[in-house]
Amino acid sequence: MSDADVPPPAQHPRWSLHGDIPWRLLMGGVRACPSWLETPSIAGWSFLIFLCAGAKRRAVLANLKKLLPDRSALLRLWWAWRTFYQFARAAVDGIRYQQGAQGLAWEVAGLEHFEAASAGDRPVMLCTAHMGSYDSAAAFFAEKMGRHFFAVRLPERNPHLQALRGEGLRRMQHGSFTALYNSSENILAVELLRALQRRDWVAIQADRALPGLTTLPLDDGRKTWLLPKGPFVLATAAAACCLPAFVRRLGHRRYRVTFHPPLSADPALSRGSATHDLATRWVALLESVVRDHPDQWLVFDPAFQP
Amino acid sequence: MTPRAFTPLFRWWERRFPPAARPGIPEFPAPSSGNHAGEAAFLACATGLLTACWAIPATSLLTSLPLRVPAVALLLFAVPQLLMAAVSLVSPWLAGPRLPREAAQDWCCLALMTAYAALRSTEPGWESMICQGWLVFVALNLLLWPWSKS
Repeated sequence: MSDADVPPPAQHPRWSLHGDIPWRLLMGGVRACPSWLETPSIAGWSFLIFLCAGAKRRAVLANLKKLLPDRSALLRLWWAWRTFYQFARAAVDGIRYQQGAQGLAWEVAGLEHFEAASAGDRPVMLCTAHMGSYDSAAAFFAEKMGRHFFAVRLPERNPHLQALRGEGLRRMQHGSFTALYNSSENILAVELLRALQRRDWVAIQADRALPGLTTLPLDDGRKTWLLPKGPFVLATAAAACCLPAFVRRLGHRRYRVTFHPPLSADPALSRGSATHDLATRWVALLESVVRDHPDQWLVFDPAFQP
Repeated sequence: MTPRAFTPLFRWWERRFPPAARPGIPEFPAPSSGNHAGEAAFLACATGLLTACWAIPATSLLTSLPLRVPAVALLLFAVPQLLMAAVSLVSPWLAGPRLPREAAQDWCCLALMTAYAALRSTEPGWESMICQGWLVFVALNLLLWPWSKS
């Protein structure tokens, strides 16, 4: 489903965090801000939003508590604020990129896994998480790595913001990647399956399920992850090579994309068990990455079963 | 803005101490510097210190520390927003085909900070030392400026 066909998502007020007015203000602020004032400004604003956005703050803290129960509450509070800060930094970098700045530096680790997947005959699904500036990462990836792909996104929760973000994405894309909106799972699944069969790559954020998506609850023995079921069913159905890729912000306008060895389900398993097996392998990797950089996991909704 | 530093002092620093290459981790665009982040951090700290030169004396009437500390913190956050507003008003006059918008903003902000430091640099007290430190930084940049090329 292309962005022109996105049905109107659930209404959120225009001035709320999911509305377009804060985003427009942010775009104006970024346009006016000298580069080095970004850090103190973003630190201050993200602290104010951290104080005001109670539901988001509680969701981040609850996720951190499940993920890092052995760490102190004070440290988790610090990481929760850092999550807001990292999100704002990534958003600002994305806006700068849309406004034509060429200042983002990218490091790529694990390039051999990417090259092996490129050279292979299997369809490839990039499994990624909500980390770093994923929109600019998609544009960078398509532009520099010479690989057209489909990126799956959830539509924004306010139509005005959806229009604004869609326009920004079009400015970034230059035809190098196509954003597909996950507003109707069944139609999207068919489109993605066809893309994979054509050997186009598909990038999916497989780290959290939101209301409206089919959820795959996955118990790892200590907690139950709420994963989106679609990516794992699709990868199994298409017998795709699941290439994990994570984007991490290293510092001022600098990011690192890390490719990990591809994940595959045991071929001897039935389709249902293979889906579960793939999700289990993905969760083990995701947990190790997120535990190392808890402030870079930009998930502001409950990611675990309470 | 490119990943390179833009002040002459930090450009000199980049040439003198180039960043170490990380084996097996290619970089895009090709690494021309690693010091842009250092420059941004230095300038952010300098802005904070120059703001403190005004914010700390301005809150001297607040004798209670629990009131004064948040007031100073609020000013340290708010004053750079005013500086940003001033820059966005003035910088369009400077921007043009030879000076992109972002560069015009950066230079305009540096000019405003320098003008403020020059005004405060002769007053007695610790504030003037910070202002003089900033003026030394500006003077070093002027010394290293590639005058012959420009």
